[in-house]
Amino acid sequence: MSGRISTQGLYLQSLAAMLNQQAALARTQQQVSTGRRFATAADNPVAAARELDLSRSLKRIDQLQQNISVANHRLSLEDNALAEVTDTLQRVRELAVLVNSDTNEGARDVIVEELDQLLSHLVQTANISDGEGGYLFAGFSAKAQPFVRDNTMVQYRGDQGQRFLQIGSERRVADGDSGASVFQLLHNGNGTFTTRAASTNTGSAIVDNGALRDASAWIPDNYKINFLTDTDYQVVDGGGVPILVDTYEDGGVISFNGIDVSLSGPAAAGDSFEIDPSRYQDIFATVQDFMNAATGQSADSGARAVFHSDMNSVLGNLDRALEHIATVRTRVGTRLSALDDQGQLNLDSRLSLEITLSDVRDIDIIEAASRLDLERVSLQAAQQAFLRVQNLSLFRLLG
Amino acid sequence: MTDFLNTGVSGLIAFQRALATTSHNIANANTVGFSRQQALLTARPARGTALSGLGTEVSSVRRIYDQYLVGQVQTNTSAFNRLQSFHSLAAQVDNLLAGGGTSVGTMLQDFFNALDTVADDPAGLITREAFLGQARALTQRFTQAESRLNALDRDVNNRVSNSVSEINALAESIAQINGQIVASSSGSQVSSDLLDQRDNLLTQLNGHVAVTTVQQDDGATNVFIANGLILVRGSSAESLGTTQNEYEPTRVGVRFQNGTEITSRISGGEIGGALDFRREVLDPARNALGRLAHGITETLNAQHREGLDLTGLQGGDLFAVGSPVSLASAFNSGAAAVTTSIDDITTLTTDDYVLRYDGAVWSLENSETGVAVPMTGTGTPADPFRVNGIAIEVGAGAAAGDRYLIRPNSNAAAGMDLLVSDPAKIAAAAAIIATTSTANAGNAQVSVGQVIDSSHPNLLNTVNIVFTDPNNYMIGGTGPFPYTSGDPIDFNGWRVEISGTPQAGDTFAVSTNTAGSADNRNALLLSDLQSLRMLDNGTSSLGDSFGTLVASVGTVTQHAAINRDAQQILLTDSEQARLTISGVNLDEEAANLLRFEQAYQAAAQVISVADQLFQTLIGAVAR
Repeated sequence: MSGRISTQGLYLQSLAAMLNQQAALARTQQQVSTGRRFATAADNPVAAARELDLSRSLKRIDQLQQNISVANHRLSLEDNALAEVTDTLQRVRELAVLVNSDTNEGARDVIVEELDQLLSHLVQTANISDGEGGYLFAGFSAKAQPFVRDNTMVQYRGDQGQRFLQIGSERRVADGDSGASVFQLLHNGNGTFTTRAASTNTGSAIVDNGALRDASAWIPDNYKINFLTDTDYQVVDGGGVPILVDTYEDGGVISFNGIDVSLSGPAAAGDSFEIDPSRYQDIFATVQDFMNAATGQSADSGARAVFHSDMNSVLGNLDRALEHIATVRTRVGTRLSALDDQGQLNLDSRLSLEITLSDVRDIDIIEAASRLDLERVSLQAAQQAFLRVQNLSLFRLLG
Repeated sequence: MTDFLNTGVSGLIAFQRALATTSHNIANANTVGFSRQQALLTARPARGTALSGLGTEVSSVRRIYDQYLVGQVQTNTSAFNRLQSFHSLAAQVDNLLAGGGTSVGTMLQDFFNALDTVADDPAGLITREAFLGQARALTQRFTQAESRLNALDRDVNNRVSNSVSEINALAESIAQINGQIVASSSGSQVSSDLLDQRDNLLTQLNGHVAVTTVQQDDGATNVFIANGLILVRGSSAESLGTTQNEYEPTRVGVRFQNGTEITSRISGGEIGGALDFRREVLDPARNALGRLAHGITETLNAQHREGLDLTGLQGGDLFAVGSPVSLASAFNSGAAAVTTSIDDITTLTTDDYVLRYDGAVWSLENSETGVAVPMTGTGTPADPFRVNGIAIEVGAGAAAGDRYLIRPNSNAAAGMDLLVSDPAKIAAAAAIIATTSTANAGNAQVSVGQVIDSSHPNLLNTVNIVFTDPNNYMIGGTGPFPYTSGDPIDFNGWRVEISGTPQAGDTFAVSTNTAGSADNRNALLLSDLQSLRMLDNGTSSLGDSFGTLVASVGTVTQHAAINRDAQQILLTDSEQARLTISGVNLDEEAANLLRFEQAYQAAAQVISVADQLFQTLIGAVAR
C-alpha cells in the first residue's frame, strides 16, 4: 500500500463499516425480539431441520396426551358403569339368597317387582351414553342403542368391536369393551356345564351347580340323571345310552366323565335332572331366569324343589357374572394405569424434547443482550469516526 | 528578453492546464469509475546554443490507472452479482419452506393429529369435518408453495429477459465508445474519460453476465461471451435474444444472434445467478415437494381404500395429485405418445430424465448429469419401461433422434387436491368385522380382524368359520384346516385370529362392517403412515423427507450467503485497490491547487519582471 487513499475510498470504507455494524445489530435485535437463534433455515440448516423434527415430535406428543385424556374419560365412564352393574348384581344376588332360603312365598311378588326394576336399571346402565352422542357398550355400532329389552329377553344390537387409541408412539390401549364381551360372552352354570331339575319332578331332591373334577375326562354332551325308582338312578348321555347306574344317596356325589354333581333331598321315581355343556348366557337372561323362577308360588314340594334347583343355578350364574364383571373391571383398571404410566412417560419425553428444542432454537438472552449493547457501542463509534474523518479536509482550512 | 517573456507565458499556460486538471479531478471526486488525471509538465529545452531552456509545457495529461485492478473489479462484480441474485432467489424458497407455523411440515403434523382425533371419535362428524379441514389446508399449502415456486420460475424468466436487453444496450454502447476511441487515437491523445466510461460499461456488463475482454492494438476492446462467442468486435456489437426451452416453452433461455442456444454456456452475473438458482434450487425443491405430494397421496389413498366409510362403502381416494409429465422436445420429428406414471413410491427419486429414441432403441439418461439410467421392460402398456419408481409407456410413431423430458414430480404438488368433501365418506372403519357366535359352547373368541387386501373381490362377503371339532375348522365350506390358538387365519383379503378352546359346531362369522360407525381401525392404520419409512427405499418417513428438503435448501442458501459475503469483501477490496491508485484524494488536490496557484502567480511575476526590465530599457533609451 502506497499510503495514498482516495477520498471516495475513505468514504466507502467508513460507510461499509457502518453498514456492517448495522447489519449485525439488526440481526441481534431480531434474535432478541423473537427469542430465536435463527430466522430461517439458511441461518442454520442443521438446527432448522432439527427444530422441524423436534416440533413435530412435540406436536405428536400433545396429540398422544389428548388421546390419553379421551381414553381416560371413556375408561372412567366404563369403570363407573361397571361399578353400578356390580352393585345392581349384588342386590340381585341378595334377593336370590333371600328367596332361596325364605319359606314365605307370599313375599315373592314384591321381590319380582324389585327384580323388574333392577333389570331395567341394568339395561339402562348397559345403554349408558359415551357423552359424545354414542353408546359406551355398543362396540363399533355406536349409533344404535345396544341393549333392547322386550317382555322375555334383552337383545344386543351392537357388535363385538373394540376400539384402540394410540397413547404412545408404539403403544395402543383399548378405550372400552363391547357390550357383548361385558354382558354376553360369559358361560353359564359352573363354566363347564349346567344343571337343571326337570319341571315335572315330583320329589324334593335339589341339584347343586356341580363341579369339574377332571377336565381331561369331561366329554361335552347332554346328560340326564333319570330316577328309575325313588332310590335308583341311571345317567344317560345324549344318545340315551346309560353310562352309570347307581343307588341314590341323599347329599351324596354323583360322579361321571370327570364331573361331580350332588343332589340333596328325597327323590321320586320319574324325576330327571339335566346336565348340559355351558353356553354363553347374558347377564340379563340370568336376572330374567330369576324373575321367571320367582314368579308365582310353588304348587307342591316337587315344584318347590325345582324352584330351589333353579335358584341354585341362578346363584351360580350370578356369581359367575359378578366374577366376570370384576375381571372386566380389573382389565379397565390395568388400562387406566397404563394410561397414567404412558402419560407420565409422554410428559417426561415432552420435557426433554422441550429442553433440546430450546437448546437448538432459543437464544441465550443474557449473551444476546450484552452482544446487542456491544454492537450498539461499536456502531456509535463507527458513526462518530465517520463524522470526524469526513470533517477533515484541507479545503476547510483554505480561503 | 523575448525568450524570458515566453518562458513566463509558457509557465502561465502550463499551470492553467494543471489547475484545469486539478479542478477536473475535484469535480469528479465522486464519479464512479473515474481515474484521476495528472498534467505532466516537461521543460522546453534551449534552442541552438542558448544556455537556458525555454520554460515548460504540458506534454500530456496522464490517466492514472492499473488495468489489472480494473479487471479485478470487473471479474469480482460478475461473481458477486451471480451470488447476490442466486441468494436473493434461494432465500425466498428457504422462507417459503421453513416459514414456521405455516410450513408444509407443520401442516403435515397437524393433518396427522386431526386424523388421530378422528380415531379418538370416529362417529363424530365434527372431528371428521375438522380432519377434512386440515387435509384441505395441507393440499392448499402444497398448491400455494407450488404457485410461489412458479412465481419464482417466472421471476427467473424476467431476470433473464431483462438482463438480455441490458446486455444488448451495454454491448451497443461499448461498440460506440470503441469507435470513438479508435477514431481519436489515430490523431491525438485518447480521452482518458472515454476509457473510464468504457471500463464502467464493462463492469456493468459483468454485472449481468461474465465476459472476457481482449485489448486491440487500435485501442478497441473486444468482448467475448459464453466461452468464445464474440459480443463486441471493434465498433460493431452482436445481440443476444431469449429463446424457449425445447421441452418447456414457458422457460426462457438465452440465444446468440446467430440462433445458437447458449443458456447452459453462459455463467456469472445476474443471468448466471438466476439460471444456477433454477437448476440448483428451484427444480430440486419442486421435485422434492412433488415427491412428498406423491408420497402422501399414494400411501394415504391406498390405506383409505382399505377402509369403510360411514355409509358402509369402501373408501375412495382421499387425495388427487398431479401426474408425472413427459415433455416432447420441440425438435422431435416423430409423434410418439409418451406417458409416465408412478410405479413404486418407495424407489421414486427426485431426478428428472431425458428419454431418447435412436431409431431402434429407447434409452434414458439423468437430465442433470447425463448419466445413462438402464430401464427394464419393453415400453408397451402391458410391460412399460420401469426404473426408479416410474413406469414409461411409449406409443408408435417415434423418429430417430426424438427426445422427451420426463419429470415425475414437477407437476405433483400443483395438482394436489382433496377428493373427499363429505365427512361421512372418510373411511375410518375397517371393511370387515369378525364376530364370535353367542351360541358357541367353547370359550374361543375371535379378534375383530383386519383387511390385508382391499382389492379382493370377495372381501365384503360374509364368511363363517365353523369348527368341525376342537382342532379343525372349515372356512366358507372349504377345509378342514387345522386349528392353532392365536394363529392368523387369512381369507378373502382379511385376517382374523381365534384364540381359546373351541368346540365342535362353534361358529365365527366375518362380515361387512356396515354398522361400525365407531370403528377406528382404518384411521389408526392411516395414522401409522406418519412414522412409516417408505420413501428413499424405506429410509425416510413423509416428515423426514420434508426435513431433508428444508435442510438442503437451507444449506444451499446458507452457502450462497457466505460466498456472497466473501465475494462482497473481495469486490470491495478490489474497488478499494483501484481507488487507491485511481481515486481522487481531495486533500491532495487541494495541495495541488495551492501549488499550481502559487506557481501560476510566480510565472505571472516573471512576466511582470520582464515588463519592468523592458520599461527600464525603454526608459534608458528614451533619456
